[in-house]
Amino acid sequence: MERLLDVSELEPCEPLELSLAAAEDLGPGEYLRVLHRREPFPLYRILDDRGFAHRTVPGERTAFEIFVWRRTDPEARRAVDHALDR
Amino acid sequence: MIPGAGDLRFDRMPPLWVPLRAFVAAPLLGAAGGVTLSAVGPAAFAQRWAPGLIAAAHLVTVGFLTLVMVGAILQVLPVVTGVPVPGTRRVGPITQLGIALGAVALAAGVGGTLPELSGVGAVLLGVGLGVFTVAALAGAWQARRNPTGRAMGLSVASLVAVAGLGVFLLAGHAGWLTLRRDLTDVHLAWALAGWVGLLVMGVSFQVVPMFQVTPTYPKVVERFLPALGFAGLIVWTAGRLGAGPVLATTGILTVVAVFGAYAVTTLRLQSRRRRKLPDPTTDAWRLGMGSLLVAVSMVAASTMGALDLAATPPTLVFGVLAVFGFGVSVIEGMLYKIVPFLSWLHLQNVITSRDLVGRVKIRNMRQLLPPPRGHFTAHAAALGMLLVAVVLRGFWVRLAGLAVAVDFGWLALILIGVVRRHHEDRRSIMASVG
Repeated sequence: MERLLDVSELEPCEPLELSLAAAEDLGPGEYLRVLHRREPFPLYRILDDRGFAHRTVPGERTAFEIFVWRRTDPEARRAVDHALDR
Repeated sequence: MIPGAGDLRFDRMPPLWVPLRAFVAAPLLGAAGGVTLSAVGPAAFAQRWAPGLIAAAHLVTVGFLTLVMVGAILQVLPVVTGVPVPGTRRVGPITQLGIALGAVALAAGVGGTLPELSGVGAVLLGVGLGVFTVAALAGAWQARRNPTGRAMGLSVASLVAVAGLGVFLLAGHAGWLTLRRDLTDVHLAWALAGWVGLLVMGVSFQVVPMFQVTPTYPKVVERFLPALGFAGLIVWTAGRLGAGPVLATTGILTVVAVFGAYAVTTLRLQSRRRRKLPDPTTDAWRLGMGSLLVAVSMVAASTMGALDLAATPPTLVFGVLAVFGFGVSVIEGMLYKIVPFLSWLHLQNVITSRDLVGRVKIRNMRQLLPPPRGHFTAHAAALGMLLVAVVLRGFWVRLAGLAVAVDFGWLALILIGVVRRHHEDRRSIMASVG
């Protein structure tokens, strides 16, 4: 299941703080889709260290979309793959 | 991960102390410029060659603007382009010390307090800026595919001309060479349009969309405007140094058009901010762009023969608008964001590296530096008083100098406050490690 977070109109450092909080809140089978106007390099490093996987693609409404899921959650991973295939 | 040439690469950041030391020291030198103006009084605004004016102006342009801009290049070039300035840890201290001490020696030397210090200033600035330009040009060359990297490279190339001519003029003041005042306009043009203007332009391509939440600059602006401005300066200089008035006019009108277009583009982007919340950084950049527009209009009017820019009041109004209205406004506005942002980001990295994510609470940017509305008001008031002082002279010059000193002194206190809160949070992180 998808959780959508639009941080494209927020000033630094709110996008990173909200993205991390939303990632921590993910339940089994869920992934986070972050709408961002810049590629959030600082977020990647923290996500890596906290056991999350992520993938960034060009967005439709915003320049970038970042998909985040727990590395230990294969169901969430499949849901991300499915969303990206559409 | 998408390879985004225009995006920020925070994993390539140099140590926090490299830019921060310069950002905190610079306002103190700017404040010294205000104190100098206040102490000298009306004589400083009597004519453009007044020693007190040259001293105060260089404390602001070299001591504040250049010191911050050098720190910004050491920080922004690696972050934006992934290419660090070679030898940053050694280049940083040598450059910062050379510029800071050189600015003081220059002011004391040309200001007439201690004329023998002109030579010391020439040597210190020559060494400091020489080391910096060699290292920064090497870095910028590797980053030339990035629009911000290219603009920075052109800006540093301009600094070579500024510093070379400046040290040459200073050697003239020291009596080592003949003083060629006819080269001052060339020095001034490369300093304001090349060094300050092109760097602000390059940095703004990143920081305006990021911190002011505006759309990005049009690609055509990012790709061509800095190069066109640089080319305009070269053509103007060639015309000015003997190739003829037609070339000089073509060159200067190109520079005017480039900076006019840049200011209008920035103001338009700001009008399309996604969240129109009050923000002192946006206000400072608006003031900066407004001042830039008036300043370039004055140059255009002078080129067309409608204004005598060599006369004292117009030349002083132009200088106040270009240096204090444009340069100081945008750089102060940038510092409001960059200093708390870098502090916050480094604290995040400390937390991550100590495996304390989610277990330690640190201040966010707004808590590290609450929006400094009062300070921006003081800055705008100082600009207004400088303009009034150009017209009314007399006691107004001393008051304006005082207002400039308050502006910079207040900024220094604000930035020192960020550093203090950063250290408090860092200590609490370390305490939780045990």
